[in-house]
Amino acid sequence: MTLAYYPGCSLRHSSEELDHSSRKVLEALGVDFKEIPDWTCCGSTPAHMVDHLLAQSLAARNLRQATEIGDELVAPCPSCYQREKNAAVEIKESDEFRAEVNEILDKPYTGNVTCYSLPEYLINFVGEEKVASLVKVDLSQLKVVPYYGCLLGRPNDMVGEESPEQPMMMDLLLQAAGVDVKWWNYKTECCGASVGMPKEEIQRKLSGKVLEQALAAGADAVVVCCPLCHVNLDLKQGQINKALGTDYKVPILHLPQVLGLAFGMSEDDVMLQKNIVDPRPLIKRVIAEAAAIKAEEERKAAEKAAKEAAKAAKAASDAAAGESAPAKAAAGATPSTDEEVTP
Amino acid sequence: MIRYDADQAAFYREKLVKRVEADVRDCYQCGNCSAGCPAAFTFDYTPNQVMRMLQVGLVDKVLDSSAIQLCIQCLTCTARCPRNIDIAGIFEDLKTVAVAQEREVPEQVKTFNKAFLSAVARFGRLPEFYDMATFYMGTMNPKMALGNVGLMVPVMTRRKMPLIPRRAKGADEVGRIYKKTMEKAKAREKAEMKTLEKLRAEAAKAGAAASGAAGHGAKAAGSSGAGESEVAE
Repeated sequence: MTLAYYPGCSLRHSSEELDHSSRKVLEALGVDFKEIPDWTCCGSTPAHMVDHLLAQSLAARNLRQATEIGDELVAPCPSCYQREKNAAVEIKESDEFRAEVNEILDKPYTGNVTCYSLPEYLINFVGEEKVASLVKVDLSQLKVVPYYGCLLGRPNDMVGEESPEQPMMMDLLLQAAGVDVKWWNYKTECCGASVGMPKEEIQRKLSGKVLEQALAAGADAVVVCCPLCHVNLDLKQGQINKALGTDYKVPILHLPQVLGLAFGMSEDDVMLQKNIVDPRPLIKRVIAEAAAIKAEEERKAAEKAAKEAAKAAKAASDAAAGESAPAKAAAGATPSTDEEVTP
Repeated sequence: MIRYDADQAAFYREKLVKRVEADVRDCYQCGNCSAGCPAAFTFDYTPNQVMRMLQVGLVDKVLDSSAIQLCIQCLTCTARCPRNIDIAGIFEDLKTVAVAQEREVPEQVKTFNKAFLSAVARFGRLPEFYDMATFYMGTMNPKMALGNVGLMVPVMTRRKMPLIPRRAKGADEVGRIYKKTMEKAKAREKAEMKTLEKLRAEAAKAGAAASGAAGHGAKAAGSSGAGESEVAE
């Protein structure tokens, strides 16, 4: 069945690289998907902060549009995903509420669409084995921390994670892709989200803390799923440095960008040129490091093999010599002793 | 002057039970919500204080607070509440009430939401640059806008944001959704205010009757002797 793909407003422009790399990765993994025709804004944070029915109706309009493709929806943006899923669940549970929403919509939404985030879909329907089987580039030297933010961990029963404090889906996917995933305590801390626009100090303090903790965990880059987390950590990193007196230069990568790179896609394929803190030098370095380590390992292995071969040869020659040596000794000694006497 | 309004508190408590399935009376002030709240350092009241205020009848103070405006809806409080109270849900609902009552709220969150939603209602999909421009104009704070002009340089050089917004095909329907729901929200709020007034009037009447009855009782007790009035007290 074809999966309905909901890009959302951010992915059209400011996070174009997330849209592009998500599509590339889904294609590589053999997922059959199609963009929802005439989708509109999900309502995002402002809609549910202003009116519940407004938020659910804006999301329901997209669910209705999605039914033209199928009854499974994937939204790479976690905010869109949460809004769509929230509406889908409430409408599914209550016919009364569905009627209320349909009164607002031009054409009614009669289906039951199930919504997935990108990591949720990949873990549940593609699997880590499939991801691992496509890995072509060794990213074992890429040290990252997976940053889930608020929307991929909470509420955990809705997003399909076992624990709200310790979500694992991004960890598992990155590990399957062969990336060096560091353990840290800031997986689900908030970056400041959209309050970063009207109240800048919140965003600067929280995002700064995320960057600090990422470095403390030994990571060279942060991997995110959310385009707003990306804006707050990447685009606004200069502002954070200015406000906090820090000097961070941490590349922030989107999850599908990393998966794509591991699958052998080029930097342009996953649009690394669109990231603000340029991740390209880091990616080049870690691939070269992995190659150097591999070469070194191969050299060591070859050396070891050579040594072993030499040892084996020596042992063989010793054995050969040994066979004649006792004979010689026996011949040389030839005392008038009994056969049973051994030196 | 602090005005504790028990009728209003009861009204909103019931409303919250109905709308977000959360009862403010369940809160026993452990403070987990405030400990985990990433934005509480900017709030006028911490989340556990807000819960207490809702319990004792300071709903108006909460509706005017910066706390419910600056709540990010990260849901950390809800995830960590040992009493399973959907604290973020309560904040979200009260914020919508403050909007429907057209309260003059602190901070620029109202400006941000308005800029965002009117842009979406007009174009169907969020025109990011247009939204930012209207927001910063709405703040009437040129210093804030100037502080963010620098962000446009990397955005423009990487061609991440077109300046001119375009209308999406579903924009008309989105515009209607916005208009209809906003009208409905205002009508609902008006009806709710009427219910609250009615409740207050009834409570006042009952209170007067009760105090009248109590007065009679006191008189009766007084007339029947000092011993009984002590018991009555």
